[in-house]
Amino acid sequence: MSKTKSLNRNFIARNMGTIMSYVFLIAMAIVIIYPILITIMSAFNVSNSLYSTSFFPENFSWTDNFKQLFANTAYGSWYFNTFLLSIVTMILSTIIVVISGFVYSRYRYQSRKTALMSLLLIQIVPSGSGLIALYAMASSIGIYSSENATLYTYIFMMLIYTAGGTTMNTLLMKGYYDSIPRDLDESAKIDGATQLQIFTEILLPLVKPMIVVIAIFCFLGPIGDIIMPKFLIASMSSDSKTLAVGLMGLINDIKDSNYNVFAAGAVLAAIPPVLVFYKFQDYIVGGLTSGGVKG
Amino acid sequence: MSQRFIFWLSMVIPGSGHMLLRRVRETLFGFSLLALEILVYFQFILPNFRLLAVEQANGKITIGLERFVDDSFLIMVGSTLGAIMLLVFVALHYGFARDAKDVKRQIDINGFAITFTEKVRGLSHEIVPNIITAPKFILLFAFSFLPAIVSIAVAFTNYKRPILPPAFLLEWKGFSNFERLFTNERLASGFWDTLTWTMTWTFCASVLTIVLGTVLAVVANNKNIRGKKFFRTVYILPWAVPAFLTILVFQLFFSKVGGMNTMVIPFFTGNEYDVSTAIGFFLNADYAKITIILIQAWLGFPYVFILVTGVLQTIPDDLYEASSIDGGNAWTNFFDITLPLILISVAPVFITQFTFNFNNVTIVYMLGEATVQTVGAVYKPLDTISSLGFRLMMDAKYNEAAVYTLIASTFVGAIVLYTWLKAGAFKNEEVM
Repeated sequence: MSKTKSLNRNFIARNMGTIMSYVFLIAMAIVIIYPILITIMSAFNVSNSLYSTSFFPENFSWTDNFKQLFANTAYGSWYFNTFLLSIVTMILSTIIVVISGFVYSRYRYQSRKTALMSLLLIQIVPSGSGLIALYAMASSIGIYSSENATLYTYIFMMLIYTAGGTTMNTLLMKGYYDSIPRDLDESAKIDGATQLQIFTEILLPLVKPMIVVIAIFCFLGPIGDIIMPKFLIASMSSDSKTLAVGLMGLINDIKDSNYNVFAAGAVLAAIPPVLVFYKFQDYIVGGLTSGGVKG
Repeated sequence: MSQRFIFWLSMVIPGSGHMLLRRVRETLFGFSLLALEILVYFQFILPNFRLLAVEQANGKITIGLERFVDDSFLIMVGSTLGAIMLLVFVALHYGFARDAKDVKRQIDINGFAITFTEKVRGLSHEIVPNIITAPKFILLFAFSFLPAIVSIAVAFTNYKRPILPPAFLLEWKGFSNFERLFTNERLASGFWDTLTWTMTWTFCASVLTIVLGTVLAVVANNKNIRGKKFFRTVYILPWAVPAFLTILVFQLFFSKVGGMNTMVIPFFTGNEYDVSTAIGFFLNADYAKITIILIQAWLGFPYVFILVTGVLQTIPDDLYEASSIDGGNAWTNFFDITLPLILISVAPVFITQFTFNFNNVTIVYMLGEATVQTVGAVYKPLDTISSLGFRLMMDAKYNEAAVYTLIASTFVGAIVLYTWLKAGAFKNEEVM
C-alpha cells in the first residue's frame, strides 16, 4: 500500500512539468473558447432581460434571434454588401498581383528596378493616412450627391482596397515566382511555347499556393475593415452599411435590439471567414513562413 | 557643337538637339511634346497654382479667390497634380536630352547613328511590361500616393466643420496647428498624456502578444504533450474570426451586463451577480487600458504562435541528441538551443508588431467608443496618436486629424524605412 502511494507521488513529481503544461494549455484554450462559446450560446437564447447569468440558453430557440435580426435590421443587405465588396476586391487584386508579379520576375527591362523600388516606398505610407483626402476627393467629384451614391461609394472603396492590397502582395508574389527556376521557361521556349503559354500553362499551376494565400488575405481584408466604411458610409442609409459598421451600430445603440440579436448577427458573419480560414489553413501557414505575410 | 551643348539645348527645348542633328521624327515628337506641355501648363497647372495662395483684403491667405466659385479642395488636389506633372515634364526632357546626346556621340564616333525605327524596335521589349503594370501604378497613384500627399497639406489649413469647401474658402495656417499642440496648455497636456499612453500601449500589447505566442508554442510543441492538433486548432481561432467581431464581443463581455460580470466573477468569488456592484471595465480609465492590452494579446498571439511552431519544427532532433550526449538537460536544451533559434526568427516580428499596434486604429477606436471622456480631459482615455487621427476625422476636424495622422505616419514610415535599410531590402537581389 505505502509502496504504491510513493510510486504515485513519484509519478506526479516526475511528470510535474507535463501536468503543469497541460494545465496551462487547457486554461489558455478555455480563455479562447469561452467568449466565443458565450456568443454562440446567446445567439440561441431568447430573453428580454439585458443580461444572462447562465452559460446555457434559458429559453432555447434555433431561429428566433435570427428572424428578429432579419426583420428589424437591414442585416441581409449588410451581408450582401460586405461579401460582394470583398469578393470583387479579391478578384481584382489577385489578378493584378499575379500578372504584375510575373512581369517583375520574368521580364528584364530598364524601369523594372525603379518600379520595384517605388512599390517598396509606397508600401511605407501607412494605409489610412490618405483617408481625409480620399473622403474630400469623393465628395468633391460628387460621389455623395449623385443618385447612385451607395454604388459609387462601394466602387470607390473597392479601388482603395485594391490599391492597398497590391503593393506588398506583388512583392511576395514576385518572390514566389523567383523561386521557380528560369530553366523551366527556357526549355519551354525551346519547345516553342510563347510567353503567354509559359505563364498560363507552366508558371500559374506552380504558384497556386501563393495565389491562394494572397486571394484569402485580399478577401479577409475588406470584411474585417471598419475604418474605411465607418468614415465613408456612416452617414448613409442603413441599407448601405457593411457588416462591421452595422453590427457596431447594433451594439452601441441598444434601443434598436438586444444583445442576443447582435450575437446572432456576429455568428452568421463569422461563419464564411472562419470556414475559409480553416479550409486553407495549411496554405496560410505556408505563406506565412515562406514570405512573412502581414500579421 | 559639343555633346554637352546638344544635351542642355534638348533639356530646355525637347527636339531641338535632334533638329540640329537632322533627325526629323524625334524633332517632331519633341516639338509636339513641348506644345502639349505649354497647353497643359496654361490650361491646368498655372490656374491652379495662381489660386493656391490668394491674399484676401483682410490679409488672410486663402486657397481660391471666391466662395462657391473656387473649390479650395480641388485646387489643392489640382496643384499637387500640377507639381507632379512638372516633375514628369522634367523627366521627359531629360529623356530627350539623353537620347540627343547619345545620337550625337554615335555620329561623332561612327559617322552615323541607329535610325528611329531601329530604336523603337529595340524599345518594344521595354514598353510591353510597362503597359502591363501600368494599371496598378495608376491605382496606387490615385488611391494611395496622391491622397497621402494632399492629406499632409490639409494639416496646414483650417479645414474643419463648418469650413467646408466650396461654401467656404480654406485658409493656410502655416504651422499653427502643430504649434497649438505644444503651446496651448490644455492641448499640450492632452497630447503628452496621449503620447505616453500610445507608447505604453504599443510596448505592452506587442510584448505580451509575442511572449504569449512564444510560450504557448514552446509548451504545446513539447514531445510529451498529446493533442497538438487540438491545441493548434483552438489557438488559431482568434486569427480566423474577423477582429471587428471579437472586439465587439469583448466590448459586450467586459461591460456591466457582460459575461465577465455575470458569470466569470461570480464563479470565482461565489457572490451573486448584481448590476449595482458590477465593474464597468471600460468606464474606468485604468481598467480600460489593462483590458484593451489583454484583448489585443488575445487577438494577436496566434500569428506568433504559428510562426514559432514553424521554427520549432525545423530544429533537427540531432541537436538535442548531441546535447544529451554532452550531458545537457531540459533547461540547457531550452536556453542554449531552442530559445536562441526562436529569438532569431521572432526578432523581426517585434518591429512588425510595434508598428502594427502603434498604427492599430481598429481596436482602439472601437473600444474607445465604449469609454467615457473624463471631465476636463481633451481626449478619451484610450486614444492613441493614430486613433486620434481617425476620431477627429469622424468629428470633421480634418486639419487636427491630419496633424495626428502626419505625426503617426512619419513615425511609422521612419521605422519601416530604417529597418529595411538595415536589412538591405533595397540592395537585396531577391527583392529587386
